[in-house]
Amino acid sequence: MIQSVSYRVVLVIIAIFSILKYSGPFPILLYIGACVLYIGVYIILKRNEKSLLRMVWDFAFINFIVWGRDYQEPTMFFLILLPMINAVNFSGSDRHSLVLLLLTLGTMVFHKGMLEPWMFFPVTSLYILCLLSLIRNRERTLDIVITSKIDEYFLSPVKLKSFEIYQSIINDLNVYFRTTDRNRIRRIRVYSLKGDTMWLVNASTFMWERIVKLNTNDLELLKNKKRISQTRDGGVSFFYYVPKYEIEYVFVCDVQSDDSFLFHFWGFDTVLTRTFSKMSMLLNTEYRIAQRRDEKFNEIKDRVRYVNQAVRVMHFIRNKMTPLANVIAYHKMEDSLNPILKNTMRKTFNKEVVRADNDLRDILKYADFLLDESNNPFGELRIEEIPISKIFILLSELAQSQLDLEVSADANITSKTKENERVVHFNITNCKIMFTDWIANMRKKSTSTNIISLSMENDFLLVHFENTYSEADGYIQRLIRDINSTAKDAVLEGKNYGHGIYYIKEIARDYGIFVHAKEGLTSDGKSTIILELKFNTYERKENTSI
Amino acid sequence: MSEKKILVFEDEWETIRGSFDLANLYAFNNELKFLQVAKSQNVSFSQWSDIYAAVFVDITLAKKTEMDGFNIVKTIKDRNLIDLNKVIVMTGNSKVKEKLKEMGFKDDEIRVLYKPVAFDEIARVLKGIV
Repeated sequence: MIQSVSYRVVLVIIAIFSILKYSGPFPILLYIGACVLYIGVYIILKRNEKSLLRMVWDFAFINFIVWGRDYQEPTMFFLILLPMINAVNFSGSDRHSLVLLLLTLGTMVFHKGMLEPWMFFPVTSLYILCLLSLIRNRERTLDIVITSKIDEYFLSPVKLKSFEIYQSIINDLNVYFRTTDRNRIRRIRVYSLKGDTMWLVNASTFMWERIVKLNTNDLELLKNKKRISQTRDGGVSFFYYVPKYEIEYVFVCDVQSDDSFLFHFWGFDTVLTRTFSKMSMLLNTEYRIAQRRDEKFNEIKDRVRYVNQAVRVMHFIRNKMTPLANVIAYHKMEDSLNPILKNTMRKTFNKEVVRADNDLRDILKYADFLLDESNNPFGELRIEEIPISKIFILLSELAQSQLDLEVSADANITSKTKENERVVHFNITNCKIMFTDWIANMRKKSTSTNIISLSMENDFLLVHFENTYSEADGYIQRLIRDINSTAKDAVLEGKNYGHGIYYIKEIARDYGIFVHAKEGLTSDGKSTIILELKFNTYERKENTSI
Repeated sequence: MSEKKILVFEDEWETIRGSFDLANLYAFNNELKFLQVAKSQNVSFSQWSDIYAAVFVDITLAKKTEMDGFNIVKTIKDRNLIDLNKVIVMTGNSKVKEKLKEMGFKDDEIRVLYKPVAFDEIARVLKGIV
């Protein structure tokens, strides 16, 4: 846009300079009117995106200015060549370069009255420059288009698979190389090279053949020259070797027929190597995501399996307890049964006793499975040194996501450097469970005020949670009493608080964390519940990477 | 109805059949007949009122069942196969009532027995129905 306007401004300035310097056949007012008309029509054509008409209009204006003047004067000559000079720098793709050449030559012939050989020299030189610039611009445009397709993969709200963008890239390449139905690029395949075998990563179309074996010569040639071609039925395949970090990718471009001359005119290898290099980054990203997903899956799969197994065992145990329940029920009512019924039931009851005996053994066997520490992936949680700053980060992230709340820490904590800050002996997983449970409660129950703060009290780290609540009278008091109770299962006695309090107390007991709840008041007199966790802190011993 | 048939959806019948057999002896003079199925596709889902006096449905059934217990009770209700007060859900899961509520059942529209279920409990429930 700026280039187009600047060019017209220069054109009008040179035209005015020519009008003033060289006398012409028309009155000056007519020239001024022509300049105004030229600018007006240009604006209209610019709005309507009529580039060819704009070019014709430029030459109409130039011819009007040159008319009746000596076109061989340097300024006049420059004016005639100006559209072509501008085209060399033109950044768009629609140049109408042949029309431009004809209009330039036509203008010269129009004013000279005949075609002379010298006219070709400046015009042809500029035309060649114009064509070279056109090729460079096409490459640049293709680069931008392909980069935007790859960006789309990363940025699009719709999740795209890498192979889904191949077809679109193939279309762009076919347009770029001006292929026809006879010689078009048909498919892109991507392999990762392991030894002499290429393993399919993905392709623009579905592939039944997942591996391709290369002979030693081809493999060596591919690695050295980065590109080989192989003729196959109905076309040719171009192989490009693109190593990216630890993965050696081989991109294969299947072309309908071997019109390599046409392709090489447009820098086929250069363009494809650049395109595939960009795509390899995308594939590498997908590979890393898959790698992380697998790592995460491996981390959780034992736990998921254990939980599923535990659910199955509990289901099994409940069923297996049926004969035992029958034995107890029978014994409870035995004395009240009449002798005839008792006798009738005896045979079935005896079978139930035998079954209860067997089932009890099964129950114990399955209970052993659950109690066996080696089966329990959660039992492997070890005590770690967790710096106070890490506790702060954990709480801050949770508070921000759940409550939009900033966690405060007192100066005793924030003034410590990494080297001299103290640590707590805890386990990061349990730490997260504990904080997540209580902060989730705060989010559910809080009415207005939420406070989370960290402070030091001698060598103890004090984590303070406080929130207003909307529960009926007595509920919070009962909850506080149960949290503070030393009875092991106080919170389990039929009170479904849904606060995860049992787990909080259990974790606290296992790791020697002091838990205390109390009532508080906000500055405007609203009741709050306060939960305080008191951690013992220690000097840092190991070089923790947490 | 001459013979009182009770349909029982249960995949671990051998473990719990003692409760049904003892209940039958204890309260019904062994007059009940239990028809046990482990998979939903093993029984025809046509009108049950004339065939069965009661239906027990365990929530967890055999792996290859087409419908689990929840879907069976839903089908019973949708097709009006039998009075819902003659349907008893058996489960070890304490959250089943909540799930039934989520599925659109009213409170106590369906009776739920929690495992392990002793024979006297089955007898008590069946006496109220049969």
